[in-house]
Amino acid sequence: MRFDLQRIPRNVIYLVLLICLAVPFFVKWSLPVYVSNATRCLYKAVEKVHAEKPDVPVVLLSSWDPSSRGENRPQMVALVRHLLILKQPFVVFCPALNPMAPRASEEVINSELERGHYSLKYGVDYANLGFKGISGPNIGPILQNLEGDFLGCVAQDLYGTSAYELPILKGFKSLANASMIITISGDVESEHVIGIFSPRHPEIPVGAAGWSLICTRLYPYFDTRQLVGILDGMNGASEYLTLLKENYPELAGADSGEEENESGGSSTRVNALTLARVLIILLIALGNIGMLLERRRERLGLPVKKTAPSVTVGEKRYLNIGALVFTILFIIALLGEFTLRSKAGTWSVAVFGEWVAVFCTIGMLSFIFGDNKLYRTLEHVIIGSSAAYMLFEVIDKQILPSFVYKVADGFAAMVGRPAQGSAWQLLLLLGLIPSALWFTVYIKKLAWTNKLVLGLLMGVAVGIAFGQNVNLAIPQIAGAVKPLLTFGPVNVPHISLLENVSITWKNVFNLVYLVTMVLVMIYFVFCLKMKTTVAKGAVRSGRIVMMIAFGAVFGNTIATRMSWLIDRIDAIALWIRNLMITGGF
Amino acid sequence: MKKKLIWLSIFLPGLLYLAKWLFEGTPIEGGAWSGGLTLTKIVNEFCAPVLILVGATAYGIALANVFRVHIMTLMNRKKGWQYSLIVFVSFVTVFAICVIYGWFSKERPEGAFDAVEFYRTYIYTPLLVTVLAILGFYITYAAYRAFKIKSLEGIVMMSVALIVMIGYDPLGNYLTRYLGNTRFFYLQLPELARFLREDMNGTVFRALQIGVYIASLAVSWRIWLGIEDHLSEGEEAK
Repeated sequence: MRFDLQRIPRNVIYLVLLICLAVPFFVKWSLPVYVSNATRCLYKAVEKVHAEKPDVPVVLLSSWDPSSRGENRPQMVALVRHLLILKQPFVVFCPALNPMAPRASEEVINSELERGHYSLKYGVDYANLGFKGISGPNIGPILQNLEGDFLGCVAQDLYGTSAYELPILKGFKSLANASMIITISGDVESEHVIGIFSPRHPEIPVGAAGWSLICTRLYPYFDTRQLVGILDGMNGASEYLTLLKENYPELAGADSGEEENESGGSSTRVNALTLARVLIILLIALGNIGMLLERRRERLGLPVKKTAPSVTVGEKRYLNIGALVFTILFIIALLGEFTLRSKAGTWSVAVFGEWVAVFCTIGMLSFIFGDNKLYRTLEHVIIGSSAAYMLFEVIDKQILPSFVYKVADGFAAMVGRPAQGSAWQLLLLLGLIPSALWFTVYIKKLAWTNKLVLGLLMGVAVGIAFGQNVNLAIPQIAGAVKPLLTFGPVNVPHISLLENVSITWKNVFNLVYLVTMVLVMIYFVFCLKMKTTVAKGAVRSGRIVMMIAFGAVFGNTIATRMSWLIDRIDAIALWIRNLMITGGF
Repeated sequence: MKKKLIWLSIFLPGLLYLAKWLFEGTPIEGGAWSGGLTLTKIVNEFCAPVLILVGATAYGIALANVFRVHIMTLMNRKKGWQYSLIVFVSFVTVFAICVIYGWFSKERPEGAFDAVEFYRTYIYTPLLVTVLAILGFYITYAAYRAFKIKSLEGIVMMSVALIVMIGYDPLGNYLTRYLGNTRFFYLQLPELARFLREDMNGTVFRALQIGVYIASLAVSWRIWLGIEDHLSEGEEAK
């Protein structure tokens, strides 16, 4: 049978990928890390803020949740570690409707405090202010509220303490009181911050840490200095930790987790990402060689197989049997571990938890080989359980402090009892009307009123979008205008490559950037018919230069998706290592 | 009437936020002449809490829809009803745990077992992370199957993707580290990757985003004035 380079079975590819990702967790090596300009700039900005305002809190707008912990967690580790080393006060807040985000931040802060043995006090040196949100990406109204009435918007911290009672927030009336703002998320929150908040407060530096996938959109803002620096995915975090090790060798290198390497080189996770990238490059190369060979066969009139191998129904039955066997074996192994550890007195809830976590991970991963009952069961467990958890958190952390307690305060003020607010707060009860309108969708005659509440949210988004888009567009248009002919040192807008090159090259690159921009814009001119050869050439060139950007986006997408997978492989590898070291197997 | 009401529900909040942006900090937005009431105050102290409540209740409607689907499946004993049962069992269990540990058992001794923490760390996190991590496998297979150099555009895209992937990796730094102190400094893979990702990609995205801003402004304007009335489509004017 002839081996077809274009049709390697997907299960084989998945298995090779799994092996590539797992190898670095058992075989250690380290490569030197090259620190990118965007990371270095963010690091310098934090240092500068500490030098100028050592007692003013940095605000971390952290809205990542466990789903993106592969990238956002190492970023938060790097930033929090830096702030803890500097003893710079900081507060963490999630401006989106994401109840898991503050808990994810809490886990990072606690593990960093434990790692560094810092004697810092909660509420005085740092605080976790929970979350407040309207809908996923619509953080505009929350940002405006943070700017106008920070304490009123936050209301209480993650643990139920009133924001007015936290010493770190004494006198912190507005987001403008922050020394710096850094967004850590999987969205373009920084775009909202620089579009809504920064124009009125340009003195407050804004940094961004995000998924590699998203960061490709943020570089124009870095060029115009609307963002002082960017942490681009897991690699960005690794670079930041390398900088910390260079500058604070005793403090930053005290312990080694999977996000870092004691020698300051590439971490285990970054090594796994390296192998994944190499594998993908090899696979792309193989696919293309296969395509060329296939074309040759077609030219020669030889038979060509056209379909990709897929999982058949018969195989699905085996998948279900396999899932059942795996579950039974796993339970037997767990019982064995329990027996051995109980005898040794090392059994704990954490050990049991690790087993549960690994079972959940492998059960979900089983989907890559096809739909099966184990995956389906776990999928429905997460639907039901996360709905319950989110509901509780939304009631406890959002509805109660931001509505119920405020209305109660208003009522207390009305009857003359001591209260933080005024009787006007009773007006908030009007909010029950649009909230109730959500549910009219189930009443046939009133179903149209559901659109009123949608309209309300749309109107708010539109009202904010006017200002935000103008504020974002003007610096970008200004940033696009670069001097095409300079003869001496002039204030050239920041472009990384231009920092150390000669004046002649600056002129050349400025011309390249201008031509690139114009070509892309020409591509989107649909109102004119491009009939001449020059016009057609310009349109084609516009498409080609856009491919440069899309190539970069693809490269970064690979980094994002792999980072998430590496996080899970890391968890399984840790479990296996623990099993080999402390378990009885 | 219905159409007008729906349009007003967009127009009035939009007007308030637009006016706030235009007049914030000026005497027009209010102040002494309005008894201390300003647009900023209205937005911060009334609109924001109301929007937070509306956002939170939107979660309720999402939940209601999920329940509706699963209740129907259970009642009609449709295929896979067992999974719907799992949804309800896990919902009730976790909500009960959250209420018990979150409201009725807040004060616990240090190191005591916390069921909510256990659920978050060992069940919710691995399940949620793995759901998205699976995409890593698919993107690898998709890259292998679909990333073919069939045109000049394909060649450019693939070349840039390869340079960015390797250049933004310690391996790229390792392979071309000897160029660091030479006149070929800019041919180091990390430098090339940086040029492509920060400068060229940044320039292309700037051009795209300028278009996006202008389009967003135009669409916002049309929605606000009711020219774009998809929301009220189907609602007959009376």
